[in-house]
Amino acid sequence: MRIQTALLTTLACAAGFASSACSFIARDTPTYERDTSALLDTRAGQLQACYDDELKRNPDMAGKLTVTFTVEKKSGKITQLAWDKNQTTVSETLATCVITAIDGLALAEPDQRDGVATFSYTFRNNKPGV
Amino acid sequence: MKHPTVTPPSRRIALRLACSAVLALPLLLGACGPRVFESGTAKVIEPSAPPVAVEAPAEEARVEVTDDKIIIREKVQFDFNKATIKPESDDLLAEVAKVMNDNPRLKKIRVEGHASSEGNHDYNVKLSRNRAKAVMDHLVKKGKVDKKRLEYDGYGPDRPIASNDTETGREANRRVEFTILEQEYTVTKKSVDPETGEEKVETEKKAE
Repeated sequence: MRIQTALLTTLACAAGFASSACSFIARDTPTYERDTSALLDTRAGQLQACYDDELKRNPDMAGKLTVTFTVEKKSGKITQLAWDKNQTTVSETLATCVITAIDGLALAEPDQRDGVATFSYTFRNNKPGV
Repeated sequence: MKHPTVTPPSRRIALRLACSAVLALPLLLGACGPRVFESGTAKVIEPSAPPVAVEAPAEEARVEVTDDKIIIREKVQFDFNKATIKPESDDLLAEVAKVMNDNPRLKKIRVEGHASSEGNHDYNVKLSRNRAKAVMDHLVKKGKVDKKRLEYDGYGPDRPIASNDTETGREANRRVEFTILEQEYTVTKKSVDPETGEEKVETEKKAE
């Protein structure tokens, strides 16, 4: 009897834990990606400023930057933000500027799950032949 | 003889519950596992457009010839209650002289003194006349303008260009003006010779 009670309690707690974790918005993957992408777009002006500054130092700078991060469940914050050196061709200064610009963003409506994200940026200076 | 082990009912229930928990728990927690996504399209960042160079508006000339006047966009400064021209107006009057000398077609110009309505009317007429003469003398002596091209007069407060009810208006009325009395101009006539079909252009100088 005592064993049954203990097991029932354990099951109830697990269910309760799981259900509390699931009380936030539940996005499917495409929606999560879309909302996260829109969140990144709010910093488009700052990223353009990063690129403008880089072009002053290096007028021919163009290339790709890949960033990875986790959108933390329940808080919506972007965490573990980093740039993927293997998939990046822009300078470190530009990459660092972008990371700084994105850092601190958070989804207004946190999800019940973490979002493990990878996004790429193409920096294009519209110069012919570059 | 050993009897086979029989699990008592309460124990069987307990085992079933344990199995359910083991099976259910991952399902419950796995339903909140992370979403993993990688955007298929890169976001494009381009430099901001360079600011469009805005041409600075052309400064208005300080002295300008119109159809009937030489307009000055700065005041000739005099000592208070006197006809003495202040040195800070030397540049302006030098420019007026240059315009006159560069435009010999301006045959006759009148230097006019004007005043606000403050003070005695006759006194103001006299002071404005004296000031007009002072300007004319300055143009002749320092600006080397031919004296024959100039005359002067003072009108006191009789020809206001603004209201004398405000200081701004009165200030505007205290002024020197240059009126073109006579100037040469060229009349151009174009005609076509009926025999040859050639266009003929004739110019004629006139003065008024």
